[in-house]
Amino acid sequence: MLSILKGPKFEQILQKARENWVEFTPVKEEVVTAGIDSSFNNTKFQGIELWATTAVSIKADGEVLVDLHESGLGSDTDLSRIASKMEIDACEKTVDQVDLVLMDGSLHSQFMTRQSTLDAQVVRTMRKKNNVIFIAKTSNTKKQFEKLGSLAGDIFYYNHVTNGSGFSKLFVEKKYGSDKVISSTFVRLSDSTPIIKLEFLGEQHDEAEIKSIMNKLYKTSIGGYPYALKLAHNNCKISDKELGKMVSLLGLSNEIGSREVLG
Amino acid sequence: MSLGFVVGESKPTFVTAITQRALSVGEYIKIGTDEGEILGLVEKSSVSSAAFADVKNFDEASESTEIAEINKRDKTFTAHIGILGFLENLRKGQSIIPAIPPIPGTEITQPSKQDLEEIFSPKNDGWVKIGNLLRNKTIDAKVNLDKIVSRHLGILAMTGMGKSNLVSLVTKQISKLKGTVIIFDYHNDYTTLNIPRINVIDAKINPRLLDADQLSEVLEIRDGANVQQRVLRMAFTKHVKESKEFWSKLENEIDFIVNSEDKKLKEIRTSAYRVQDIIEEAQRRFEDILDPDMGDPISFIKEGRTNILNISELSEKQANVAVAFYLQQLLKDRKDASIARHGKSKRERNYKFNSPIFVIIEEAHVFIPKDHDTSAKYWAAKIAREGRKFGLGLGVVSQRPRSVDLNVLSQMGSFAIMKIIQEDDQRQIASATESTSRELIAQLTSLNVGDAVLVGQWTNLPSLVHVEEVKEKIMGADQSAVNAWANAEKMKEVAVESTQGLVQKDLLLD
Repeated sequence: MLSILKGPKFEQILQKARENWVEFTPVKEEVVTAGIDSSFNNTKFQGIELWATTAVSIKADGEVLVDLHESGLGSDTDLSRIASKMEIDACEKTVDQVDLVLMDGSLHSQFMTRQSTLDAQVVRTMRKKNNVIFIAKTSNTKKQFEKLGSLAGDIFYYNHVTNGSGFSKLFVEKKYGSDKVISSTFVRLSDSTPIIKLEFLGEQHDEAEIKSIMNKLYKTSIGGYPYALKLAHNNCKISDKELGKMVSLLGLSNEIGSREVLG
Repeated sequence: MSLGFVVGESKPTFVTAITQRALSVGEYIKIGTDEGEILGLVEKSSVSSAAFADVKNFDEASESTEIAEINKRDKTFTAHIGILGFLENLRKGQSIIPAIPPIPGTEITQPSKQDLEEIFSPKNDGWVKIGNLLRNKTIDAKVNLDKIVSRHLGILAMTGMGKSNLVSLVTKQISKLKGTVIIFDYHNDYTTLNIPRINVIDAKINPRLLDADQLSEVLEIRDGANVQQRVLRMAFTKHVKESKEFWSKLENEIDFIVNSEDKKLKEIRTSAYRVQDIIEEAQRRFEDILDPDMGDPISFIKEGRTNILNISELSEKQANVAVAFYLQQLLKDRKDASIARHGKSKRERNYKFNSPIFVIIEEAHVFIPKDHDTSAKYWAAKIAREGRKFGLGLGVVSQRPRSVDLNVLSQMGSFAIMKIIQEDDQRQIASATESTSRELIAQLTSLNVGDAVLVGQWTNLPSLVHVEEVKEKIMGADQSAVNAWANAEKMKEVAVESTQGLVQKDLLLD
């Protein structure tokens, strides 16, 4: 399979990735971090849709800082927009309470997708304390090596050139406007763990800051991934079972016309 | 103090709770419901950690330790609780299960010392202390002696886990009440039991009192030797039984067969010769065991005492015959006493024991085996079925429950079950004790020496107990081979020194 990716430029790309990679072993730094994540789910019955969204902000020690819920009946509701909005709201409420706020996902997708109406709020919130970073476990961006004719995402090449802890040189993206500049770096917090992508707002970031952020993340990470984000994900999940409970609480499962009457 | 809350689906007999600390298996808890307070027993306990939920390697595990430490919500303590009944009823010895399951969200709390004492340490007559609750050590665990005499007792455990200690303890407590206990001591474990009112008897067999088949077993005539057994049956006449010179008379009868010119008797002459040899040999080999002049063996048992019947000198078959004989006689005696007491007999007094007796059979898998019939098994089963009516209690003790006859085992109204690892044994226990939950049976592998699960009628509730050690029990502990060898070596040196002192020096070799 790899041979498909190993085009003529493969070695060249790897060489470039090696040059971009900065080896660094983080040291644990005591810091208060919070992870933020959101989720949504919906169920349909008798032509109506019951939906629910949640967003949670939780510290690595399990303390829930913000817990937001919304639900409703209707069809064609833009749930991802509602969830994103709740995430930003949770972030807004969190920035003053902790040293570092970790948002699950990508700033790129915030600025790129239909959530762009939230941009102003995102920028305002991130600027308030300059302590918000976006963290993505997966990344499909093909920015850094596209001039070399890369086939795979950037993360693929960094994964190939190194196994140890470190980070890639900052890559600055200005295409969303001067107030929405994104600086990103690929980071590996400890040996042989998956690479994660960190995104900051603005271009005033340097390697010293990345190292400092890595030190802060390293303290409460498991397997190279910040535990606060894992907690946030686990705490905000809305399973089908939970949605089923909501349906039964609202008394919707025994609507007249349900098939149960057929015995 | 709140321990946790009922969660998930609850049933009248079983609930699951999320607790603020890990509860021990065997711990008692209280559930407050609208119907009243319920007592529950923790049958299964588990702890999970979110930080360690999907750890894939050592490094992740190491990183997770710190996370788990700082996250106060990291641990989930789950307890599976068997409902034992309303506390109010349990105080009176009744187990009433609620009709409505506790509602999820109901708080569970720690029962008070008084709550538990009223159930596990009743102050009524007949209740005696045998240890402490394993998970609530300040609470005395008492058992009802009446119930073990009337409804029998099974003591089951692997070897070395405290069976004979518990037997000694029960015996000691009955002895304090001047009760009569008889222990068939197969391994000479109890002859040195240092308690007052003990009566050690070397079990002997009076051949006169046996039937021909039993005598054949005692003389160790082979099972398949049908002709030899027939010869013995022919020779073992009523006349021989009543004769002053038992052995001579029996030999004469065999001689008669040997020397007979009768055609049919001639055919079995060879076997008769063999029987002659066997009888001769038995008189020599079993001189201390077979005693035709001993009178009634039952007369050696003293009422109001602890009687240790030492059957360790007997072969397995002989022991079986002896145990069967004693059981048969004891049951007969208790029946006679019972009939006389109810004024149903116009005959003069023909019984020995005025009060109930508790008989303990050690190594029950030998005497009450599952896979074949023995006379001891027959009488043990009879006592298990009928004994309660006549005040004859049976205690069966075994390290191999799987080999004990289930019909007898399931007649035991109470059980003390100690550490058992073999699954076959556990299955047999589960079959014999319907009141023991699977979770409690599963705990048997993790019990330590002296710990026991008590179930049945001798306790108000199933309980995990640590049985107190009987200081008066000298034998039965594991022997230290190392110490014994060291002492033997020392004694050898002492012996050499002392004998060398007696030899003239000039006779000693260099």
